[in-house]
Formats: sequence, structure tokens, C-alpha cells
Amino acid sequence: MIKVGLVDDHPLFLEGLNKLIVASGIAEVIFAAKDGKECLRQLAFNYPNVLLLDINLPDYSGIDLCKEIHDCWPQVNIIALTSFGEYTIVRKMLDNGALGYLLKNAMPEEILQGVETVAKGETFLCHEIDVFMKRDSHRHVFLTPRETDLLRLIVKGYTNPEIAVELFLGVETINSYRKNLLFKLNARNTAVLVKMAIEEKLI
Amino acid sequence: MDERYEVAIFRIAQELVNNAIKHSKSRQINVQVIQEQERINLVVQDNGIGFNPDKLKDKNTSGLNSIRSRVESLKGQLDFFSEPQKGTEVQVNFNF
Repeated sequence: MIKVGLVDDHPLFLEGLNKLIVASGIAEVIFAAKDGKECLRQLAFNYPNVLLLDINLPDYSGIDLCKEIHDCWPQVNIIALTSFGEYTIVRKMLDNGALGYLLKNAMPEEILQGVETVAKGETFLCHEIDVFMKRDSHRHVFLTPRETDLLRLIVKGYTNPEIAVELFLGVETINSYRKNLLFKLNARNTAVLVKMAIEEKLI
Repeated sequence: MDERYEVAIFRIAQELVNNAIKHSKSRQINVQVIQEQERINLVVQDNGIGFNPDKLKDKNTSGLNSIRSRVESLKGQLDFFSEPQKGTEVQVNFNF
């Protein structure tokens, strides 16, 4: 039987998920943690075959936690179970070692199918994410640390001279970086850049 | 594009990647070239051990000097960003 660990900060959701998995007969729940700390404590004693991991946890970013768990316990197959459907988040979770990605609006059968597939070491994306990830417009844009710093300040409404002071750089340098961002994100102007940064969670 | 810029970008990228391989102990090196009508921009970035950029001013190694002189001769702009343990990012920009 597949051993499953659950991590989610909403007790009601945790309870529902627990019941769903137990009732399926294909898996058993060996722990249900309400935050990242508890999850790490449990992992020190119990290895589940599959870990269903929420991304928005009170004490941890699920994205960082995913990497930490994947590095320390590579035998644990991780599925992100979350309400976030943004490209960057899915990409980051998969890059950090998650094998599966399920949205919280997925049907119960889809969740169980995900658990079974990922337990075999195969990848599983719920239908909505699968379709979304295959869309051409969502190419993976890698931003360098400086580009990310700059984007963060642009979103905060800083002007080029203000950014130059903040980052100890020349205005010319800031200008080049701003042009790089516009080019890489295929944005016509700063307003579009800000919109994309927020929508795609690039910062 | 003017051949001088082409050669400069190629040689500078080569030198920066060499430096990253030799000194940065990084697991990943990212090379990015953006060419637009009025400019060309090169960024070489690594996630290695980094260094204190203030110490760069006194350094006069031949590799670094060749980068500086190539950038200066074409009136470009060169920026080093680095911090110990936080990787290095070098940007070169030429406006035509």
C-alpha cells in the first residue's frame, strides 16, 4: 500500500484529504502535518512514498520546503497540492523536485490518480496545469538576480535615478537592465512589465 | 552589426566564462546576449562563491584588462556585481 504524508495548514482540507485517501484503499496516510516544521519532524521518523505538499504554509515557503525535502529525502515523491496555478510557481516546484502538481479544485479521482502515478516515480500534472504548461506563450523566462532586484524596485514604483541610488549603480546600467527586462518579458512598457511581474509572480 | 562589436562580445564572453569556470566554484553559469536595433547587451552570471568587488580595482590581470580595454575602445559600459557567497553577475552594454 502506498504511504502518504500530507502537509496543509487548513484542518478541514487536511481532514477531507485524509478521508479521501483512506477510503480509496490504495494508500494510507502516515502523517498529516499542519506546517513545514511539523512535516520535517515527521520526515525524520517516517518516509512516505508520496508527500502532498501545500505551497502556502504559515512558516515555510512550500517552494523552498520542496527543495529541502527533495535534497534530504530523494526517495519521497512530492506532489504540490495548491490553489496557485501560475506558470512560474509550477515551474519552480518542478525545478525544485516535485513530481506532481495538483490544483485544489481537482476532482477526487484526479488526486488519487496523481498519488498512484507519482508513487511509481512518474510525473503527474492535473489536467488544467498540463494544458496550461503546454501553451506556447508560457515560455520559461530566467531572470538574473540583478534583473529580479530591478524588477522588484520597478514594481514598488521607483524611478531609474532612485533605483540607481538603492542598488549603488549608475543610471546607465539601470537603463540597460530595464531594457533587458522589457525585451525578455516581451513587454511594451513599464506598466506591462509591472502587470507581468505580479501576475506571473516573477518577484 | 559592426564586426568590432561582434568580436568584442565573443571575446569578453569567452573571458568571463573562463573566469567563472576557474574561480567561481559555481554549479551553473548563465550567459545571456540580447541584441536590439540600437544596442547589444551581454550578461554572464554564476551562482558561485563571489568576491568583494572593491578588490577588483587593484587587480590588473591580463584577462580583466583585455575586457576593460575592449569595452572602453567601443565606448561601452561594464559592470561587475558580486558579493562573497552570492555569485557574480557581469554586464556589458554597447549602444550603437
